[in-house]
Formats: sequence, C-alpha cells, structure tokens
Amino acid sequence: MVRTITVHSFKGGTGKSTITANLATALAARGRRVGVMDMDLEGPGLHVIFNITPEEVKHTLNDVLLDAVSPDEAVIPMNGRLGLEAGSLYFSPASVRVGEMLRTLRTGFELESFSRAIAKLGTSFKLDYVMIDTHPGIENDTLLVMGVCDHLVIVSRIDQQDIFGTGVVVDIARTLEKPAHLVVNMVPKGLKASDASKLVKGIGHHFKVDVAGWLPFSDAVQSSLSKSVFILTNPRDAVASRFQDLAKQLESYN
Amino acid sequence: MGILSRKTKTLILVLVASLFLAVGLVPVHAATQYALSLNPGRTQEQSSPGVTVTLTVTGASSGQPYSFLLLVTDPSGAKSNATRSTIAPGSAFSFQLNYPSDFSRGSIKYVGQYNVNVAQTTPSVSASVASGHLDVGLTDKSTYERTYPVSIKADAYSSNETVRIDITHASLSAPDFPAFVNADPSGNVFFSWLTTPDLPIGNYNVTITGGSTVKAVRDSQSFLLDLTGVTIRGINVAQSSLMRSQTARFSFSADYLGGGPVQSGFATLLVTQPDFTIQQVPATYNATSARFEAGYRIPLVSMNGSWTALVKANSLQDSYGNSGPDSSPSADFIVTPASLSVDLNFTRGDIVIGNVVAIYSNITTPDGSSFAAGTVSAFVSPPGRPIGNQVNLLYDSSQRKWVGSYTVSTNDPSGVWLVKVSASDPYGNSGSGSTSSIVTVVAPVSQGSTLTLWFLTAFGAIAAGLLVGLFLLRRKRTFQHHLQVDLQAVSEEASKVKNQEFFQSIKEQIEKQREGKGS
Repeated sequence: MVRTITVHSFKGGTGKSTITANLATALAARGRRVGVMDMDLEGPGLHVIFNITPEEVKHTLNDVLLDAVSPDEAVIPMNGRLGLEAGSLYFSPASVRVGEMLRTLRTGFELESFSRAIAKLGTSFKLDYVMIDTHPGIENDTLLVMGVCDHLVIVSRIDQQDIFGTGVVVDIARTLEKPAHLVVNMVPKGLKASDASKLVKGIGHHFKVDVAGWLPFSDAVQSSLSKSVFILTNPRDAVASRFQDLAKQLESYN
Repeated sequence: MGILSRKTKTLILVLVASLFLAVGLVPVHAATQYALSLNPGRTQEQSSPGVTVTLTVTGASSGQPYSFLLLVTDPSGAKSNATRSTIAPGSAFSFQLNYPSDFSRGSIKYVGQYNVNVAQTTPSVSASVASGHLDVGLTDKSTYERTYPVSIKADAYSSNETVRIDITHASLSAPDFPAFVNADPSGNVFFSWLTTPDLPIGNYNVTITGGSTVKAVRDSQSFLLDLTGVTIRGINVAQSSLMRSQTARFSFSADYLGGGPVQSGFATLLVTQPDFTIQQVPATYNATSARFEAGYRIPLVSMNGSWTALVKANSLQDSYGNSGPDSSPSADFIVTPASLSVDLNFTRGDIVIGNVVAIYSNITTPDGSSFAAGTVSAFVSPPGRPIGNQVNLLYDSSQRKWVGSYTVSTNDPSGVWLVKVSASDPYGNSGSGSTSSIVTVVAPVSQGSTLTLWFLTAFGAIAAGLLVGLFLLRRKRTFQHHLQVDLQAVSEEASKVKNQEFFQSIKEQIEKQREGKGS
C-alpha cells in the first residue's frame, strides 16, 4: 500500500524541494517505487531539479483528478533521465490549474478526491511512496496536502521565525493526528556535529515532535543551484550520505 | 380480472405493450433514458446471494406512475420475470431487484449467458427500454495466475449425488483429475483446485458430470491459466559489516503471489555503493538452504560506508517462466577499509658493517589474498632508536612478497633490532606488523633528543584546541540563547488556523475517512 509523505515548511527557502527530490531519489536507489508530486503551486521547483522543460509536461495531476487522462499520461518516468537502475521514480509536475480545481470542488469532498487521485497513481505504478512537495506557509491547499498524508516531514532552518512557524505546523499536524517529523536544514557550519545534534534534539523536545535528522549548510549544495539531484551529482559528499540516512529513516516509518 | 393469475396478468401486459408499440399509438417519452446494470456481471452457479439488477431512469415525469416488466432468459431458454411499479419522485429514480430471489422461477443453475430485458408498461409502453446480460460460470474467475486456487461451484444436482469433475488442458487431464466429489444435501457442488507453479499455461476446460443428474445445459466452461509473479520477503546479509576484499554473502527467499515458496531459478542482485555505483550480482537457488544465494567480493578500491543490496525488479525467473518481483526490500551493510595482515622476517645474527639486512614481508588482505599494489615501508630500529630507518619495499610477484634491504652502518648498535612494516594504498586500506631479533654489529651509539620540540608542539596544539573550543561553545550558546520560542504564542498562532472553516472541514473529512477505514 502506498505511503504518502508530505514535505512542508513554514517559511520559504528552507530547501524543501531539494530535500524532497533527494529523498525520493535515495528511496528509489534503495529499490523503492516512488512518485514525486509537485504541489508547490506558487513556486514549483522540482522540475528544475529533475531537469524537465515545460514543453515536456503534457498532462498534470489535475487531468488525473478530472479523469481526463490515465495516470500513465500525467507522470514522467525519471529512471532513464537520472540513470537510476534500482527502484522506480516517477514525477508528477505541478499545475496552476490544480488550485483552481480544488477551489471549485464542493466543500466536503476535497480530501476524498485528492486521496483518490493519489491512490490511483499508487495503484497504476505500484508505488511504495508518494512524496509531495508543498509551498511554504499554511494555506488551504497546504492544509489539504497535510490532510492526505500518512507522514508529514517539516523542514526548518535554525532561524527564530522559522522555528516559531515550525511549532505552529507541528501543532496543526497534531490536531489532524498526522505523525510529524522534523528535519533541520542548513545547520551553520560552525557547529560541531555533536552540538548540532543536541541543538536539533532540543528543538524536537521543545515542540514534542520526532526529529528525523539534520543537514549541515553545504557550499556544494548551494553551488549546485538546485539544477540537479545532489546525491547523484555529488554521491561522495557528506551531505549525500546524510540524505541517504534520512531516506532510511523514512523507510522506518509505518 | 381479479380472478386471473399473476402469470396471465403479466402476459396480458406484455401483449398490450407490444400492440401499442406496433401501431405507434403511445410513443416512449423522448427525453426519458434507461440504464440497466447487473452487479456482479459474472457469477458462479448458485442461488444466493444472487445478482443485483438496477434500473435507473432519468428524464422521468415527476409524480407519474411507472411500471416495468423485467424478463430473464437463461442459457436453457427458460424465462423468469419480475414486475416493478413506482411513482417517480422526481426526474430521476432507480430501483433494485435481486436475481433470482425476486424473479418468478428464477435460478442460476446453468453455465452461460443470462439475458435480461426490461419492458415499460406505464406510462407509455415499450417492449424494450433497456437490456443487459449476466455471465455464469463454474469458476469464480475466468483468468487465474498459477499458484492461486480455482474455486468451483455448481448447482442443481441431487442431494449427496457423486459428481465427476474433469479439468483438461490441450485434451489432457490436469494432474489429480478426474476428481469425484459429493454434492451437499441441497445439491450444491463445491470444489477447490490449487494450481501449481509448473502447470502449463493456456486455456483449461472444466466439466462437471452428474452421476444421475443430466442438466439441460452441460456444466462445462473454460478458463485461462497464466504465469504468476513472485515477491521477496527480505534480503539477509551474512555480515552487517565487512572489510574490503571480503565477500558479502546474500540470501533471500521468494514466494509466489498466490503463496508457496519459489524453489528454482535465478535472480540478479543490485549491490549499490554509497556513490550509487551498481554491481549486478547473480543469485541462484540453493536447494539445501532453500534460499537464493549470492556472493560479491568487495574490491579494495571500492567506497567505504553504507552499501545496499536488493533484488533487481523482474530479474527473478523460476524454471517455469514465472518472474518478479515488482519491487524488492533492501538490505544495508557497512564496508570499511581492509585491515592488512603483515608478516615479516629479516636477516638476523651477525651482520658485518656495510652488509645488508634483508627484509621479507608477506602482506595479505582480509580474504587471504596477497596485497600486491600500494606503498610498503619497513622501519628498522636498532636499540635506542624508536624512529626507525625507513626502507621502501618492492613487490616480488614471484615470491608474492614485499622485499627490501637495510645497509648496516657503523652507527648501528648490536642488540635486539625491531623491524616494523607498514602497508597502505590510496584507498585507505592499511596494516602493519613488526618483529624483532638479535643482531650483532660493532658500532657506536649516539642519541639525540627532540623532547623539547615535542613538548612545544604539544603545548601549542592544546592551546589552539582550547581557543577553538571556546569559540564553538560561544557560538552554540548564542544559538541556544536566540532560539527561545514561546509555546503560548505558537499555540495562539495555530489556533487562528484551526478556527478557519476550511481547516474544520479537512479535519472532519479525515475523521470520516478514519471511521470508514475502521468500519
């Protein structure tokens, strides 16, 4: 049965799309069948990381929701493009029309419609995981994406406003009874690994939320300019290793 | 009319309807549409639970009475019917009946197609406003994958009658057929045939012959048997941590989709290094361990860290053409640099100044093979000389040993000489060994001390460490100081969201979904 993992953050620029793309790729490299869905309708970025031009996007999830096309037509197989031999990775691009459609749906059925579309993708491609990249903040569509997920990964930086917002998202996830997991990204280079771990654990303890892990600030990640999947272009980098550890952590969630 | 039987009334209704339709006196309402559905569309011979027949009418006239006659013709040509009347509550309505329980003389006792016709008798008359059909078989499905059971049901035999069941493929009986079973006291026959992974694929025919009962339509039906898939339960790695040059041994068991272990064939494992370099490793079935097994010797030049092994999708093929899996669980193991074993010996006894001490070193990797490429140095330490004289050793492939020599000088003292050999390569594999022996030479001993320099260096390192520590501690305190977050404010901000109508709607929908799953 497909497990849906939503990757969310309160503020922008936390590296959410980078984390989504790398975790999805790491899971696929570990033999999983993974679908990646870009629901960052305001600032989609996964297609850039996956190196997909707008001309290549023929159909989107919107068309699946409307039963206009089969799921096969609305996803882009990524294994060949990324040179992945193990597992399977499929990408479903964002559509600005999804937001419009969700707004026009009769209140009270949004969740069911969206869940059905995800289940359809999951069944068609025998997916183990669907990973959804959202846009930052708390809007109706992000609440919806939080509502359909089995696990919520909250990405935060060590930043006063960001940590505050993370607390808000954790509170909302708790109310929706969604298991939440914190990933702290761009931990300053000056911190020793052991101190960074303590600090991140402290944040988790403060908000009573599970800590999935943390990623250091990396010049290599920054210089990649979000134009490629980092773990594939820099497999020997220490951050790539951390992405793989995080992927293993995701696999441990029921 | 009051004394007419129900059958006669129905017949009259049909005749009147046909007459009206023939002369075109009362046309059917042009906008009215009728849809007939049967659920399930295919079933086995059995009277219960039957099939739900649903007629949906749209474009109806609200408040108008509607009447319908539903006629079912079974494969023997026998007919059964049911009538339904209703007053349209609006422009659309539907009703459901169960076949056979709601139909006069209805039954599902023959294999074949049951045709359903719906005639409208009120308000306008039409001999057929909708039609459909039901397929009835002996088996629960028309297509099977190997290893799944074929469930057979038949009806209308005598109580406890012994019947013969034949299943054939290409005119040959399947293994264990014919089979003889007894019908139950109600005349129903139940039988289950578990297909095996090695059965020929293709069309099979199942026939049931009664001992005394001869049915109007023979109980005979074909079904298709196809290849099946396999799944992998989990991969086992014999050692969770291995050094380079050791062989990682993997094993796993596989099951057919319908159940039962896979006991033949081969598969391909994908062994992935941390940099995603993939090695394809063949795995074969071992009948003794009843598992698929594979081994991969980790090269000395490979990466350290966490490796992953999994079965390549659809690479497992058994001896009968079944294959899989769609996806595979993975197993992780850690690879560390090889720790090299170093054995050595050197010339001992009396050495004349100017002659050489020959050094021979046998260096092996953890799997016992000879270490032949890298940097190997010997450090020759006469008594009182802890930092030995370095000698580079070369690999002699004929002896499979590293060799070198040290020329004894007048400064070398007699006594117990220690020779240490260190080996390494650019990939971080390393090892060392030492041995000692008495060497007699004539030479003066001079000792120098670098103790003062050592102390100065150590002091400098400690001071630098303290400064860096203080700097980092201050940074950490700074982070912790700035990261005080007011939980009350967080809760208030979250409450603003939680009070929104949309949030409440989402929350209710989640609860409904949970209740749906729970029930």
